[in-house]
Amino acid sequence: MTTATPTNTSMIPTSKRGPRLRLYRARAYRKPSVIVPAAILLFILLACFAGPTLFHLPKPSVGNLSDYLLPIGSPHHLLGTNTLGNDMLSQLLVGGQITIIVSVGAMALGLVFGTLIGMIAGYYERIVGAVLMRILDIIFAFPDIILAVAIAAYLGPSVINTIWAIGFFNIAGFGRIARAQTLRVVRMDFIVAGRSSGISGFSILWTHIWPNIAGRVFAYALIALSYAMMAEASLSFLGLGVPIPTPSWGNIIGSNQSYMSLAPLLIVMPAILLFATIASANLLADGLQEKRASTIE
Amino acid sequence: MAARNIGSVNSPHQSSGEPLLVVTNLVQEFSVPKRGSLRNATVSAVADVSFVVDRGETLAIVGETGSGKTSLARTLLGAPPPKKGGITIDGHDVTKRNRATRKAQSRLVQMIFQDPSSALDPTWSVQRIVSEPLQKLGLSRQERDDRVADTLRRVGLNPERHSRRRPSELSGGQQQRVAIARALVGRPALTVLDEPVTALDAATQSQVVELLAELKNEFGLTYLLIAHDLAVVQQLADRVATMYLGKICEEASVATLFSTPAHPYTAALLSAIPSFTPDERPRLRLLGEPPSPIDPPTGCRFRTRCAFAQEVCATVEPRLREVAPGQNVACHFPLGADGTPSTTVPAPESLGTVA
Amino acid sequence: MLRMILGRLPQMVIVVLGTGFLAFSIMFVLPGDVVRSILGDNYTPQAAAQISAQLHLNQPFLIRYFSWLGDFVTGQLGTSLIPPHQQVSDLLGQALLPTGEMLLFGQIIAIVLGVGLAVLSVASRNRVVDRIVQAIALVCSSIPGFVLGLLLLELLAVQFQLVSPRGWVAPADGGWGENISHILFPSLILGLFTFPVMMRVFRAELVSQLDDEDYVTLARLKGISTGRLIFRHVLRNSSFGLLTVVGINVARLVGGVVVIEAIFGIPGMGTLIKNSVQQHDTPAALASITFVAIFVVVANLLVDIAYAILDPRVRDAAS
Ligand SMILES: Nc1ncnc2c1ncn2[C@@H]1O[C@H](COP(=O)(O)OP(=O)(O)OP(=O)(O)O)[C@@H](O)[C@H]1O
Ligand SMILES: [Mg+2]
Repeated sequence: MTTATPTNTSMIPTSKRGPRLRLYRARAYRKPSVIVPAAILLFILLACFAGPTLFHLPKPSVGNLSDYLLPIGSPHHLLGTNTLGNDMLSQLLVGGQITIIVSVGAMALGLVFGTLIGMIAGYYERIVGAVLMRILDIIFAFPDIILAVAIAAYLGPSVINTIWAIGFFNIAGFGRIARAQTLRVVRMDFIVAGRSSGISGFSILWTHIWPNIAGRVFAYALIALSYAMMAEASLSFLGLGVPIPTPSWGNIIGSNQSYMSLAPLLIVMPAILLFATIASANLLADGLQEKRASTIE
Repeated sequence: MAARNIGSVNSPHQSSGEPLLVVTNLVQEFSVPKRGSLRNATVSAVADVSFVVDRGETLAIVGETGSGKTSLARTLLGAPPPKKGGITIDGHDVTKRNRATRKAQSRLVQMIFQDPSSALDPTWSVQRIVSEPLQKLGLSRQERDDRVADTLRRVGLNPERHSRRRPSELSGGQQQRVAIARALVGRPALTVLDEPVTALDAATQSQVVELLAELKNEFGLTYLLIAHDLAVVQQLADRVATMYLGKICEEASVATLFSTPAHPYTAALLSAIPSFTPDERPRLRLLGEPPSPIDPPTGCRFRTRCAFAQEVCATVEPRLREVAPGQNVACHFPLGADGTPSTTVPAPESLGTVA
Repeated sequence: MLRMILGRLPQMVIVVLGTGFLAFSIMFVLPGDVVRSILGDNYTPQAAAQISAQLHLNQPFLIRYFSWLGDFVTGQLGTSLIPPHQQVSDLLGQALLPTGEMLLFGQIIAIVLGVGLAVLSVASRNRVVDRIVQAIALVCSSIPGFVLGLLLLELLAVQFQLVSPRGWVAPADGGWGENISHILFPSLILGLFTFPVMMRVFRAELVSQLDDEDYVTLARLKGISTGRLIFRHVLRNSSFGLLTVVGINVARLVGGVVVIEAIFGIPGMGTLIKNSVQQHDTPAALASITFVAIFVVVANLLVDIAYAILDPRVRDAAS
């Protein structure tokens, strides 16, 4: 017995490794480029989902035509009303709920199916992978909004159908990311080691590959979220997404389009919210990416 | 003389004479995209290789970079499966990928990889990594945990201290110890070691080599050792095979091969290390780069870099044949004791004219 | 060279067939009675039977797909289901010019903005300039194209009356000068909407060139300023980056066209797709969507060919 002594223990502080590590990770997120956009997103989220009940706002579409275009700061209508007399604050917050639900739903749809397809395409490289990849290429090469327009039009405008239409082409983006990352991980020797321990393909995908690609997939999810939000807004604007009277940021802009000169705020307010949300998601994605670059790679 | 192996930790030959790994006419090829062509080119990584490793024995495979050592090792694990040829481990034909062999696989063969950072899943804890090969063995959780702790202790790690860590929280030497524990925890019949110490620093290298030798003696393991470093080979191996462009050139016991290499390639490999070359033999140098495995030379693959090549070497591929007891060589003009070809006419056995 | 194009052809054909199939599936597999929604209030059994026959609805799905494909390949695009029942090929022909102009001008504006700002931010080596450029890109990439369009339209056209709010004047009506001066404003919005991605990609290319290449180090040692370096050496070597960027942008431009055309009321492909899809005018919808797919695929092929011409390695290997 000559070698039973562990080497290099002095280099690594040994006590309480776990908690220390978590603390360290938390600190890596504690910087303005992460916190500011995250706080804005959180605020918008809270305002949209808790605001209407908290402030006892009227329902967004029960306005009275006698309240036509009340200005900002009117009693009972903090942000005024639109041309149908609907409360704008309520429209914006409830519209935000719908926009967020649709874009998160569409993103989640893409994330689940796209990642699954991408991982399978990367793991079973040969025939299955080639076929799946061609399919993803077809969806990807195609301008997304056109397909979404087609799907939405043929399904008919509704919240659920909008999620399907946008989610469908999100599949391709997630599929590509997941496939590229899977190809990277599959080359690793620990996959060979796992296989030679008799572990099945799906088990390897779930226990080895998914944990190693999850970070990149979630980083992309923020970007996909901002795309989905734009797509929702564009579809609803074209009248193919969320149908009126259900408000969404996109259809508020679309339905008030012709009052642009008369009441520009009807368009500017949802536009600002849309912009703040998308920009925060983009900034957060950048900030997290930076963090990854500095601590992991 | 190659006298250093007397002092090695290698125990006397433990081979039982019972074949554990039988490789017959193994072929592995990869297709790579060819520039400016619609068709792919074929890389011949392992070309018609046959050998046997007995239970309890260590066979080392040495060769220049790119000679196909890793490809051979990975093919034995079925990653990817061979293009042609047979692999039998402990009586199981592992080229057949059915459920029974899959279940038995973790007991049949495990591998220790060249690069520890790629061999360990960075998202897994040491405990989980080492217990992976036990998953399909039908052990209880308690049995599994005990086996893992035992094995960790045996490779010089402290289960309490190390088993919750991720690989990135370990040093290179510790990582390789985890990889060794992972490979040996299920007591595989055959362990493939692909340059197990190349990635480590010198001091850690000798510790790990000693550990591998101890574990082998203790558990009666069978190693297929792939190495660049001939000193490591001397410490661990019973027999050595040299490999060049996917072919086995020579195969003999460690003592024989180091003292009287019969293949010019083997002699050249040994010449590269001053202490190995007996003074009375001429030094051979490997000239230039090895040819591309996409389009290997005809006849003997080594002839383009061989000092003794003749016309026949370009046309007839030499067969592996016994030139001395226990020494097999694939060369038309094998070297004699003085380090120069002993004949001027190719032997009929190497030409393949004798059945 | 020829070999490379030939090698790409099967892939292109697959993509086009696939898109056609996808569009076809969307229109026939998704729930909803196509015939009923086409006829609307005019529903009578006879009319329904006529439409069914016209769309080959009584045949199996794959048969219908292939018979449509056969018609499409031979140029028989059929007639619109919506009065005045124009030939679909005529509809496509009319939509082509406005969209073509918008794509062309939009691409040029996006290249000028994307490349220009990327060079500016890298060459200035000034954190403030770099930050400002990044912020502009962030703003432009976070505003949906239609919002940008509406706001600029209101501001520039209605409030300040700098540009005409109308997006389209046919050359036959107002001459080419009128035509182009009207299409420029929508194209600008298309360019603004798409340039940030180009800028990011090209900026990364410039930075990597400046970091990696030996000749840059050499020039630096000789004391050449970053700005001159970029103009004299790096830009010439970044033509690949430029091509990539142009390729990426084609699909984004085409997507943007749908909303921009809707805002400005431009009778282009986007409007054709949107209207035909919305009115369930299946022959027109299928033909226009497949046509756009072909356009995107061919554009990408052209980019690849340009790559091959520029890149000596690919060129030599092919010849
Ligand atoms: N997956 C692959 N695809 C294509 N070619 C490959 C692949 N793996 C190995 N090769 C080629 O096969 C040949 C043998 O490679 P291999 O890795 O087996 O050599 P090696 O002897 O292990 O070298 P080293 O000592 O550097 O590890 C090389 O020419 C290599 O380029
Ligand atoms: Mg190797």
